[in-house]
Formats: sequence, structure tokens, C-alpha cells
Amino acid sequence: MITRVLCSLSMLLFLVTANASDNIKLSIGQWSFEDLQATNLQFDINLTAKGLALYAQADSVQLAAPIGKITKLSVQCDELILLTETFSCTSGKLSFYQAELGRQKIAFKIDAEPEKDKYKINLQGVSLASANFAATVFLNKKNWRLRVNTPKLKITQLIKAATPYLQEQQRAILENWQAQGNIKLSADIAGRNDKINIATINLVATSINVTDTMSRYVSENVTLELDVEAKNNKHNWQWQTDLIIDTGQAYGEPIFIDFDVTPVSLHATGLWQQTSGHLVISTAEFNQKNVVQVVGDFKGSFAKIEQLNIKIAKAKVAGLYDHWLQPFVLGTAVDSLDLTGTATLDYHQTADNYHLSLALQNLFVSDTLNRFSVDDVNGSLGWTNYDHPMQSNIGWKKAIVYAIPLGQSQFQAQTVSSSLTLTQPWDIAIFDGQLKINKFALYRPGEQQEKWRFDGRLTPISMEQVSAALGWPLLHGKLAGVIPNVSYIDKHIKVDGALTVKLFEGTTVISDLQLDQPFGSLPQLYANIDLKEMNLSILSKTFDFGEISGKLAGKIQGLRLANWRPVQFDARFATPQNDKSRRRISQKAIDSLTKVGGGVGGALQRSFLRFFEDFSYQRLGLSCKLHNEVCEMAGVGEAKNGYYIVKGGGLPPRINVVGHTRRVDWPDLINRLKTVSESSGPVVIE
Amino acid sequence: MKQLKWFTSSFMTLMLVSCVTINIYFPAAAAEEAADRIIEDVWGPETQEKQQEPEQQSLINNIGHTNIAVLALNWMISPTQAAEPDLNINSPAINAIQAKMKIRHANLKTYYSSGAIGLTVNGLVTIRDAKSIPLKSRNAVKGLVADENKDRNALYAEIARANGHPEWQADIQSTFARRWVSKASSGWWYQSGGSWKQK
Repeated sequence: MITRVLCSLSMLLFLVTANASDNIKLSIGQWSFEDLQATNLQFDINLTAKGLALYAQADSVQLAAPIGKITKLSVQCDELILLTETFSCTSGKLSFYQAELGRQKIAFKIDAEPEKDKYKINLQGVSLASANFAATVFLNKKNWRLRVNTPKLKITQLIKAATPYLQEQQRAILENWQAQGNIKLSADIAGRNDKINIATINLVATSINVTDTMSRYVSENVTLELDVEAKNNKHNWQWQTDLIIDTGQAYGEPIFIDFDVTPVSLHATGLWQQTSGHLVISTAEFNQKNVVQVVGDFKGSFAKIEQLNIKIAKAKVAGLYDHWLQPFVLGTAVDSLDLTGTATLDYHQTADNYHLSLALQNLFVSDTLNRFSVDDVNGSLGWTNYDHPMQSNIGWKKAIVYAIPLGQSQFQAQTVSSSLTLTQPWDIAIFDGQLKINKFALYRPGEQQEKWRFDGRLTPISMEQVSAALGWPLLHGKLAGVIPNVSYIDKHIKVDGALTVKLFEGTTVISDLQLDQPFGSLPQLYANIDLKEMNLSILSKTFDFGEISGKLAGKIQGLRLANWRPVQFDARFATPQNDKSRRRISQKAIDSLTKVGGGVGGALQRSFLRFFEDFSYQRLGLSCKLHNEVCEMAGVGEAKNGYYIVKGGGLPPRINVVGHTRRVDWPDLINRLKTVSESSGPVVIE
Repeated sequence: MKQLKWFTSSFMTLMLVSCVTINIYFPAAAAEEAADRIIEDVWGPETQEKQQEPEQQSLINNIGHTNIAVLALNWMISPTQAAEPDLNINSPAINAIQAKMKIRHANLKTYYSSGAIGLTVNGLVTIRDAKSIPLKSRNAVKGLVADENKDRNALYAEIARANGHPEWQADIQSTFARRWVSKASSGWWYQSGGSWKQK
């Protein structure tokens, strides 16, 4: 051994004194030995009954990094046994000072076979991070093994102790974090030269409170246990890890987990190629109790996914939504749902291509703001950005959108390259009719780029059912239409073409229909409505207004509903110019018109005209331009100080109804229409 | 003399052009009054008293000029031409949003006071200090903030639409932005000049 040592002694000053042959003292001013340099080294060897006692000290010793310089070194061994090929020290003491490690007082034991380069060293009382711990080191030529068991170490002290050994970049990262808590570490690490070959680590962390400066990632009182086993074979690390977190809470924007309620565990195995940075996760099993079980595998690097497979076993949708979906959709139409049912999910990705399959079982969705609900959804949805098609087949028993009930429906489609198209016409029952969708296409290449369109037709729907559902006066007739194109782009739904409603024997055409943010804070609906050839007799009976015979036509231009209430329009209703029908208006209808006009009813009853049941008229009509809750009113012609609402004509007795108020409060007008109870607008009787 | 004529004609041309601009300018004072009425309703009586701000100044700020020419124009325009249109905020849609915001404020108020959320420079709210929100409540507060901003954006747009000037939305929003800050309670945080300030 000695022969292999390169030993140089410079400025050697030594003094050997023998005292009755049982004591040797050696002093060396400066000593250099491979990477080791010492100054003022002194050896004191005594012969004792048990063998030899060694005492050595040095003012300073320069060791290789990362220890560096140590000072005030003292080594004491009271039982040094030297045999032919071995030596041992059963009770040694080592003390020194090192800038980062501080003052160390370590008890040690050594069993050595120097000729074979084999050493076993036990260390007790190694002080690190304000705690004392034990370590055992085995050295066998170039192979080594280290066993360490620490008591609870404070993370703050550990970081403080480790900081000097960190690179600048690592320190910068640490500065953005605050960490408190305790960790207890057991490690068994073996290696050769400066390489680690096998590592088995058990780490128990308690009361962990971690936060970044932005408080985006936070843990509070977390307890976790981590086991890691890793084997290094020519820079290929085969590893296995188990993690259990069962106490505390954590928030990683935007996910929050209360580990007390839903503890999590992770088991994963894999391979990491140290030189290339290539990572293989052969299996990963994540379990969040009562919420979700996920298994998956991965190939790639931190920068690039080569292959990723994720499978979520049958899970309750409510838990999945609360923990993993809702946080990502806050502020959207689906951020406050009540859900029941189960779901399974398969996700496969190869490079940038992925496909996803979601299967739903007995899913019930209910919006807590009562905007929509869907009952008993079953089936599977497929989505891919591959050019290989994926099928979707999903249906529900019933659904409601606002007050509109939708019946059972089945949706069959296929997705290719982020684009979904129907494979079967999609029929959605609405009231007693159907929305028959022929072509539906959805394109969603990215998060904010969703757009869809469809065309179809609406088979006749009874207006009785529509009016009952929407809380309108009971209307008779049918709503039907051909819908050439409905599109959703930039959160706007636009209906090209027109819906027609058969109302009061006439035709109502709804065109330029546009719906903005239908589930937003303030849904906006725009439309133009054209009403033709309505039979006033049926209309007046429907609203119990008093009978009026004749025809009525009208237009509602620039209709805008905000929050489903009209806030703006320009509406004109009047007897059509070429109306040849019989035009009569009853006393009751005149009375009702008078009341709606803000006047006092009963004027006719107070005149001789009370003997006539009805009167002929030439034209009637009313217009209202609604803006800012005020209705700018006009009639079918200008009258003295007002406008004609009913202009008498034909055989006497004739009757004119003249309105004088041009600006009418809209809510007031609606109330009057509802109640037809107040009185007397000016009624001019000729 | 030639220069004087040129200057006079240019000045008159400028004034004529400016007159047209002023005729359709945003009714800043009316908007501030409208904003104050809504804010006082949503935030309740605990909001601070309206700060005295010269009305003329706010008008000028909205036009975006502070030079003498604009000041001169203000008195040259006849009352009819210059009359600020009233800003109507009494519609069912606005009332509905306002009511929602008022209910939500009962939940948000604590977080304004704690500094967890603050008023942004563009009339919205944002999470300012996430640390002061318990982990469990983080997403609930994020949801409140998202809903509040949805309503605020809808409110600004609806006021503009309801008054027949959708193009006023940005002006209404910036008016509200100032008024929210002006009426914020003591201790609440608001963005100003790229940093957070506390009232």
C-alpha cells in the first residue's frame, strides 16, 4: 500500500522521541498526500494494555471538494489494533471544524484491511442541519457503500446546510420558495469511484409547508412518505418509486387536494437514460382515494412526449369534476354543475398525435344556475387529431335548455383530425316536434378556437306547448322551419335562413337570428320578425282582448333580447293595405285598447253607442319603438293632437281611437297589456 | 397678415371639425353619475363618499386633450349641441346584473378588505394576494372573481348597447374603473401606474 502512495514531504520538520519505548511522537510541518494537504500534523502513539492508542491532530487539512478545508482536526483512537493485514479502531473520536458543516464531533469505528483496500467505517453523531445522525461507510477498493439514518431534520436547516453546495441556478430557484417542515431520511447508497450504482432511499416528511413566492404552489402540514430504488447500469437508471401523501392540504394552481379527505398514492417504475435525458415510465399508478385511479405509461423527455398512455378506471364523475375539471373551467358555462354517474377515459398520444375516448355511464348533469340539465347520458365520445377516425355514439334520455325541454336523442359521429362530423342524422325532440340536424361539424384545434355549424329543419312544434313552457299567453299555431345554417364562432350563435311560425292563421318569419353568449352573464338574442296575414279574430280571442275581425300584419325590426327580455325593437302592426276582409271591432276590444292606452274604460257604455255591439273600422295599427325602457308610439295615421290607433270607416257608426301619448313607459305598457285594467285614453266617437 | 389668415382659417377649420367630434363625444359626467349609482348600490353604503373631482376635467380627459383649443371649444358650442345625453342604466338587463353583483359582493367584501383581491386599472377585479386566501377557498374565490368580471364586462357592454352606442363600451369601462377606485373603502387595493396601491 505504502508503495502505491505518492507521498511528498516538503519542508519536513520532524521530531521523534521515544519514551521507554511505549510512546512515539511525530510532528510534520506540512504534508501532501494525493488530494490531501495538512499543516502542523502531529501524531502521538502510545502502547496500551489493549493495543495502541493513537492521537493525531492538525491545524488544517485540505480535502477534495466538496468538503474542502477543515481546521482544528483531531483524531483519537484508544484501541487501535494493528495486525499483519488488518487494523481496527473500535472506539475513535474525530473532531474538526468546517465552514459549512460547523464544528463536528464524531464517534467512529474502523475495521480495515489496507492490503485489500477494504474498510468499514461507522460514524455516530455526524452533525448536519442541527441534527446528529449515524452513517456507515464500506470501502472496497474503488467500490463503496453508504448507509445513513437521519433523525428528523428541519428542512430550513437542511437547505441552509446544502446551499453552499448548490449551483447558482439551483440557488436562484430556491430563493423563489419557502419551505418548512421535517424530513427523516434512510439511505443505502452504493457506488464505484464517483458514480452511484444503487440507491435505496426512504424519506418521511412531516408538517411540510411549502410555497412559492406567487403562492401558486402551496402545501400545508403535508405528511408524505417516499421510497425510491434506483440501479445504475452504464448511466441507465432503472428506478421504482412509491409515494403516499395522507395528511395536509396542497394547492397547485388550479388543483386543490385535501389529503386528509382524499389521500393519494403513486407507484411508478421506469428507466432514465442519464446521458440522453430519455425517460421511460413503464407503469404509473396514481390513486386518489374515492376520486380517481389513473394508470399510465410514458416515453420521451421532459421536453418532448414520444408516447403517453393514460387510463382512468371507472370513476364517479362528481369527484372527478370537483377535483380535476371544475378548477379549469371557472368562468365558463360549465363551472357550476351537479353531476352523478360514472366515466372511464383512455388517452393515447404518440408524438403530437393523440386520441381520446371518454365513456359515460348514467351521467346526470344539472347546472346549478338552472340554465340546462341533461339526464341519463350513456355512450362514448371519441376525439383525435389523427387522420384515423374515431367513433362517437352517445345519447340522453332528456334534457332542458332554459325552459325548452329536449327529448331522448342519440348522437353518432366520427372525428378525424380535430374535426367531428355526424355519421347519422341527429334528431333532437323539442316539445312535440323535432330538430332534425343533417350536417353537424365541430372543429376544435385548440382551447379557444372551437367552432361548429349545422343545418337542419324544425318539424312543427305546437305553440301551445311553447307558450306554456315560456310562460306566455296561450298561443295556438305551429312553429316550424328550415335552418340552412347555424354556426358558432367566437361565442356567437348565428342562424342563417329563417324560422317560420304558423300563428293565428298567418305566417311569422323569424330571420337574422343571432345568439351571443347563450350561457354567459347576459345572453343576447337578436332577430327580425315579419308577421303576415294574421287573423285578428283568433288573436283577439286568444288574449281575451275583445273580438276584432280583420287581418293584421307587422314587423319587429332590430329586436334585441337581453337576458331573454326585450330591450330594443322597432315594431309596427297594422291592418294590411290591401286587406279585403270584414273589419269590425267590438265594444270590449275598444275598451281594452283604451285601457292599454292609459285611459279609463267604459266610455262607450256611457254613450248611446252602447247599443252597438261592434263597429266597422278602416284601419287599425300601433307601432312601438322601444329604447331605454321607453316606447315611442304611433298609430296608423296622424290625428289632431295624436295618432289614430283605430281609424273608423265603412258604414256608421264609425269609431276612432286616438292615442295622445307618444312616449310610454315600457314596463307600464306591459303591465297594462297584462291587466287591461286601468282607464281612459281619449276616445273620440264620431 | 397672410400667416394670420392662415392661422385663423386653420383654427376655424379645427374648431368646426372638433365641433362635430364634440357632438358625439362620450357623456363623461353622465357616465360617472351612472357608475356611482350602480357602485353605491352594489357595494352598499359603506363605500366612501364620492370624491370631488372637477367635472370639466373628466370631460376633457375623455376627449383625450388638455390643450387650450379644446377648452375654448367647450364654451363655443351651443347648449343644445353640447348637451350631454343622459346615460340610462335602468333596464331589466342592467338591473339583473347589478342584483347579481350586489349579492356576490357580500362574499367578495372580505377579500377586498384582506387585500386578497384588488381593483384593476381596467374596471375589473383580480386576485392580488393569493397567500391570504385559505387553500381550500382558493378556487371558490377564483370563481367569484371570474363571475364578477363576467358580470362587469356584461354590464359595461349592456350600458353601451342600451344607450344605443356599443362603441362607448371602452369609455364606460374606463369610467367605471376610476369610480370603483374612487369609491373603494379604506384599506382596499387598486392598480395604479403599474403597481398596487392601498386606499
